[in-house]
Amino acid sequence: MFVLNRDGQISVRLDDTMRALIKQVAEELREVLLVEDPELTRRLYPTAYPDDDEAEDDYQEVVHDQLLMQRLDGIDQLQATIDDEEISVDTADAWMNTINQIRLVLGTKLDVGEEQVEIDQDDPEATSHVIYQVLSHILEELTSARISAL
Amino acid sequence: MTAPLEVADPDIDVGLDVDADNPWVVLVWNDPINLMSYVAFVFQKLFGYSEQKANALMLDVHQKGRAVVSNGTKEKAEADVARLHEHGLWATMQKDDA
Repeated sequence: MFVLNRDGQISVRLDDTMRALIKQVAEELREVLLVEDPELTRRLYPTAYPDDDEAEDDYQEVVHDQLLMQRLDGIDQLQATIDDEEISVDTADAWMNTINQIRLVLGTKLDVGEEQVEIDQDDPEATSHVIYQVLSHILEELTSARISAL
Repeated sequence: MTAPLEVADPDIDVGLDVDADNPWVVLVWNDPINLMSYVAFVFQKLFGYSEQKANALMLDVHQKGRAVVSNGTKEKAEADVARLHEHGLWATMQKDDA
């Protein structure tokens, strides 16, 4: 699915359907980030200081908007390169970060646990479970290629 | 359960030595969503840890529920936490009073 080339670029072997899916769910992540429903985004903005409310407020004041900007920028990078046959390591990082954020939001919404669930086709969330598992597989493969470039 | 830790690089360890100048520790907590391989990758990328050390820390997070992944001044710890949050990991920091 992803191969690190000798020139340091990463080859992307995804079909058009998969690329379109990633682009679409990245757009859905953008909406979630902008709406900021804390029920969905809580894993994207963890507490840094669990025992110190004042320090935590200061931390969030500095970091929250910075993370939001980085994430929106990452979505832009992913969407601009989603049809490319080769991506740079920096672009791969933006893909990984964005795909993982989608997983964090989706996993929170679906309340997933450690074990992979058997998908019940009658479950109204069946499609979301499939997308979650597909993204998990893509991230696993991309991590494997990217780690060779460290 | 865990891969052996490197003896050649004892300054950052699971049982990390915390000194008076670097009293803040950064912890990463287990969550059911982040992939084990991705977590180990992030430790290598952000902290320059070897694959072996990153995997040992990742397994500690997974099996013990948390691991100390870095330490330093408050400013350094906060910067490390922010970078871990950027990568979607559940990181917190605290002053080690031990």
